Amino acid sequence: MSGSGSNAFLDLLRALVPSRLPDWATVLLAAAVTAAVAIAGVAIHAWICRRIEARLAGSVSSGRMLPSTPAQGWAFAATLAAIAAYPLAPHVFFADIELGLVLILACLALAAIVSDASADIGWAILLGVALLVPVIAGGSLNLIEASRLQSDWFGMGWFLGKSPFALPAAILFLVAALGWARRESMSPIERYSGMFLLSGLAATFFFGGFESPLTWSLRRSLGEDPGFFNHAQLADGSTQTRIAIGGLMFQLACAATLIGKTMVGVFVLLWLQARPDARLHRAMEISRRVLVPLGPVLLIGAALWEWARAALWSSA
Amino acid sequence: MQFDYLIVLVLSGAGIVFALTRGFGDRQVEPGARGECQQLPRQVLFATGMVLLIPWALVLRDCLHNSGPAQSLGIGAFGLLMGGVFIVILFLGWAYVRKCE
Repeated sequence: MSGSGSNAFLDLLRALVPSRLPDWATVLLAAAVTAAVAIAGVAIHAWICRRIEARLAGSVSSGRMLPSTPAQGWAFAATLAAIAAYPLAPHVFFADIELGLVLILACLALAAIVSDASADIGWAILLGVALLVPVIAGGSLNLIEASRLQSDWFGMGWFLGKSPFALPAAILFLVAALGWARRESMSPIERYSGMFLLSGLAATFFFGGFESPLTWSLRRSLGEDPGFFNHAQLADGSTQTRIAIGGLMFQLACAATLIGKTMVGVFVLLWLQARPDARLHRAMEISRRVLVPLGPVLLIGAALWEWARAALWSSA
Repeated sequence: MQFDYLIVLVLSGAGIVFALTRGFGDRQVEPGARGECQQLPRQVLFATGMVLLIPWALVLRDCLHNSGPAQSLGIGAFGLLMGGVFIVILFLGWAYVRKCE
């Protein structure tokens, strides 16, 4: 059920730092490096989003990027904690959390409540309902494991195609994500980080995660789980760690695939937000009126579909 | 495993430090914010109900396929039925509250 369990940041530091350094110090150092990488990633992503938004709006935004009130600061803290569960590749992740999906949704709902006491967290409920459809099909809340479960069909075995209820669930997710991102009480950096997380969830649970025909072909030639490092046992009993070029290529391909899919999602959200407000509001209200009652129908339908598959499987 | 949760802790800590450094300058409560809190408990109630569906969705596949942790427990379609009843009750309540709002 869990992901790879081997963190590239920790492995790399263990290979680089002197062996005299105690293990707890290496772990703390790796945690600090990992957090610094995550925070740098959030900052770079926010800068890219600001540029895209300015291009879509046709003007340069001069508003503040960072939180300006305590409430916005706390909300950003909750969003930053959620980033930990976002994986880049099977062995490149900040934290391999078994309940990664729950952590991200809980942190985003917490951020919504903290930043605005009267916030409508109905969107968080809809996000959860939409994501339960692929969870029923895959049986995992871990983002790395969920990606791996879609590696069949030449890397195109997406959950989107494994259940007839997944496509309406994906549309419901998009509408809910748009509703989440349109809240006014957020600081821009929190909004961009939240968009990245929601797009990452959609990419992972509907569109194959870090699986693609490229990663499928690399998997075929390099083995089922090619890692970053080769660990060799030396004659004196010590372990030598070397970077495996093939594994490195595979992990880079996985990271490029997932980040690419996520950024497409972010762009779609930014583009939809740049549409004229009244028209978008009307389209969202219609979608909400039609899709929200569909939430329970989708869940029960996905469960019945899985039951039918199990019945066919046992009779075959 | 501990390392993974250490990362969450470090990132949360970084965020909290950030929030504290931003927060000392402005402690005002938005006008009217206190009066608009009444709808939140209802939403939290439904969010809690939704959270209870997560473990159900997680193990349903194993129950129906009689595999994984649910192997030989014989839950099968009974798990599907119970989950369905829960979903119907939960969303009927939600629809009623939405209609009243």
